[in-house]
Amino acid sequence: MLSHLRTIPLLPLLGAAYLILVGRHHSRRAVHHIACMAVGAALVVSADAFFFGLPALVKEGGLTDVVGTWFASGDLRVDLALRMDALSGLMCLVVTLVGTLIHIYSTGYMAHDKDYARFFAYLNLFCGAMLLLVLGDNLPVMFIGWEGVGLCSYLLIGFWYGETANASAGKKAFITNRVGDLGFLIGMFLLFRAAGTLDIPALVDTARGGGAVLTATLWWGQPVAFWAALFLFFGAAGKSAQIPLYVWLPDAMAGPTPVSALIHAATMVTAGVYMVARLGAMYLLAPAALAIVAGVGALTALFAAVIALGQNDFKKILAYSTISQLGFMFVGVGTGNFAGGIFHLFTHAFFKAGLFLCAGSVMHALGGSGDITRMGGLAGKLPWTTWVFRVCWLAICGVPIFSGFFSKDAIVAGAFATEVFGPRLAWVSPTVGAGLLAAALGTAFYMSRLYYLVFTGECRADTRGHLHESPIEMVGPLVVFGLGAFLAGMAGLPPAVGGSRADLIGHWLAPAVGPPLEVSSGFEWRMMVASTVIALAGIGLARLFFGGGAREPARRFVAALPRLVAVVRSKFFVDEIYQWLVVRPLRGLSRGLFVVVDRILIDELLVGGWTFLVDTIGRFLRLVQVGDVQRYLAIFAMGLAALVYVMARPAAPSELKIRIEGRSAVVELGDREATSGKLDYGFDFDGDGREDRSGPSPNATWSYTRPGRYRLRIRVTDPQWSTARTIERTIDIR
Amino acid sequence: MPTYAYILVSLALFFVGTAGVLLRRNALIVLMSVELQLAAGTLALLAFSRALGDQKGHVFAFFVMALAAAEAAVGLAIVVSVFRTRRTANLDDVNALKG
Repeated sequence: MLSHLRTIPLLPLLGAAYLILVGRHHSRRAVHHIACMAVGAALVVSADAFFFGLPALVKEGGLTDVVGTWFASGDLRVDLALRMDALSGLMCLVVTLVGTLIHIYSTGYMAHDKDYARFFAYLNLFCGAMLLLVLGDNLPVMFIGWEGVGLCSYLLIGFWYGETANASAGKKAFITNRVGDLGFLIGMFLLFRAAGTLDIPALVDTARGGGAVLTATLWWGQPVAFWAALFLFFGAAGKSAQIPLYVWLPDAMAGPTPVSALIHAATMVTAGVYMVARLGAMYLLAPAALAIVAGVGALTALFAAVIALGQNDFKKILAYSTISQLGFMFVGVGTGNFAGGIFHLFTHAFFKAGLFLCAGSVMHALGGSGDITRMGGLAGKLPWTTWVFRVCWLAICGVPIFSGFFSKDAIVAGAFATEVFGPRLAWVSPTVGAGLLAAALGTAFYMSRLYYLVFTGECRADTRGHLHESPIEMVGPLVVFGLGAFLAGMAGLPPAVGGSRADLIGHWLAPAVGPPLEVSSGFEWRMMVASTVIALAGIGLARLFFGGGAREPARRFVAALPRLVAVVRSKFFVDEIYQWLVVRPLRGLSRGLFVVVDRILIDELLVGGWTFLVDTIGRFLRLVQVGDVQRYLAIFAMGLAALVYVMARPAAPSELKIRIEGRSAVVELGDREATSGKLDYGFDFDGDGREDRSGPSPNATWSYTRPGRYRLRIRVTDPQWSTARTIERTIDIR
Repeated sequence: MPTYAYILVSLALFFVGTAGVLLRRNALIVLMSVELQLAAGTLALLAFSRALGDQKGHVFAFFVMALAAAEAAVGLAIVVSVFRTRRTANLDDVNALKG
């Protein structure tokens, strides 16, 4: 079982195939048993491999499983190969664990949905594709998973396709991701052209060894590594919802809430971070690319946090929060602090999945509405949900001892302390660090606003009579995520707190992504104090504004700065700007192409032209069809006569060449007819009526004794048909 | 008699037949003219066969006779059937497949 990594993605894929084919004939119980077992079994296999197989081999690159050669062409050979190293093993565990819990949660959340089997089939398919992405040993296999999760994301966002808005949200997500995928593909091509391989370990080894092929200048004075890293990061920005491709994620909340938790918070959207971390060694060769990654991450973290301040939909706030937290992770990997980025990915999976599941639980209780201005005072009604939400809220705000505190701190401290940018780009490091601190303040504020508006004060919902806590299959996973959100930080305590061996994740990941970033103990403590102050300031400010419902300071703030508030509420009009800059020109171009190419060129000229031609020819040819059998026969007889004449016509040489050489004449008759060798030739060179040469040979030579003008006569006879022909020429001999 | 005499007769027969096929308008006469053409072919086959001392010509003569019988049967059936539906055996009136 240990080396058979293929079972890990295969189990959910088989579950998906089975449920898609025959799932709708089964009862709900059977459907969710199959689906949960498939993912649960994948969890067991991954845990077995991770805890018992991997530790012994982690220094040698982990476990591999080569299923076979996928394709080979020229220098390119791509195996269908899976690898579990320190990084992919951890990721695999997170995916299967979160996946299993959310499968269980979904059995409660989706209990009344009519498309139960389809939902679980897609969830299983997603898990399979995600595991393929995580475990893929080379970029093409990773790309298959990458596209697979994108497809599942599309299918699940538009799961309730009856409403146009949901279907369009799915399309928006898919198309935005495709734009990013182009970057991924180009990055892959560049790497193959430079390094001649697409195997991730080979690429990483090349990069770690200094990689002359990767540091060679490509365009505009930048090395191959920079461009490959940049294009791959563009792909990552699509998948992980970073500026400029983040716009799909808020709309993706149209899907069922468990989907938002699994795909659009905990797993799929972190794929970009994961990819950058896996290829980290290559990114380290290009500080400029790292600076772009970190800069985009910090900008996204701040920007999304600001937008989240003005939103009133429970899930939209969490979506912008996810975008913002993904920005944190990209700053982590973009500052060379790969372990920090992955650590935040790890803790974020718990607290964000928890938050989303709480959102699901709240909306389940309220009958589907996500408008937080119509909630409030739910703390007493939904005790379990409230407690889990509190833990996850404190975790994401970065309150000490909760998981988010340690992971966020690892990233922020790393951002200030890193030296990967070199002297010329050194200013990037404090800039992104400061951006993150501002984003952290925003995070604490908007999350606290969410908490106070939903759980404290008077209940503003219409359905207060029917409020009920969710069933056990929903509460169970919630509690597990709550515990995870509380405790996951223990896996990566900074050395300043727990001693040099406390950073379990950092040391565990070292063989895969390099040693953890060194941060001096004093600086670490100062950072932790600063983050704590920021988190508490954000929470306190939110309490002042929204404690127990929107309060006087909040109203006064809105009244004082109406313009600013309106701009933030409308998300800085980014969607509208994209509409004007990208969507409308593209639509105009498509319409033009449709009219010119499709309507005029293809429909009118190519299709219509041919039919016109055939029609016209037919109109003339029909005149020949007189319908009189005797006229046909007459034509037939004439044709036959012509054929007989051609076949039986007198044999003739196809070519006649006469050369004069001194006093000699050389005659060569080309004979390409089928009758070759059966003809009889006669040559009369001196025109006296007597044949000087005769026989089956088409060539003859004659030497004249005197110069003068001679008449040359050549006879060709076909004895079989008794036909003959004579050719005459006059030649001058000097 | 020399071979060419037979061939001349055969040629004459064939041209008479061809002329009949192409020029006569009555379907029955056309069929009979086809028989003349076949007879001409048979005669030529037999003449060459005798001249060359080769028996294959005789064998083919039998084939031609079988073919002529089959052709007459099918042709007559068609003529009868056409006559039943159209009340005519004049080929000028049978031109439904005009384009």
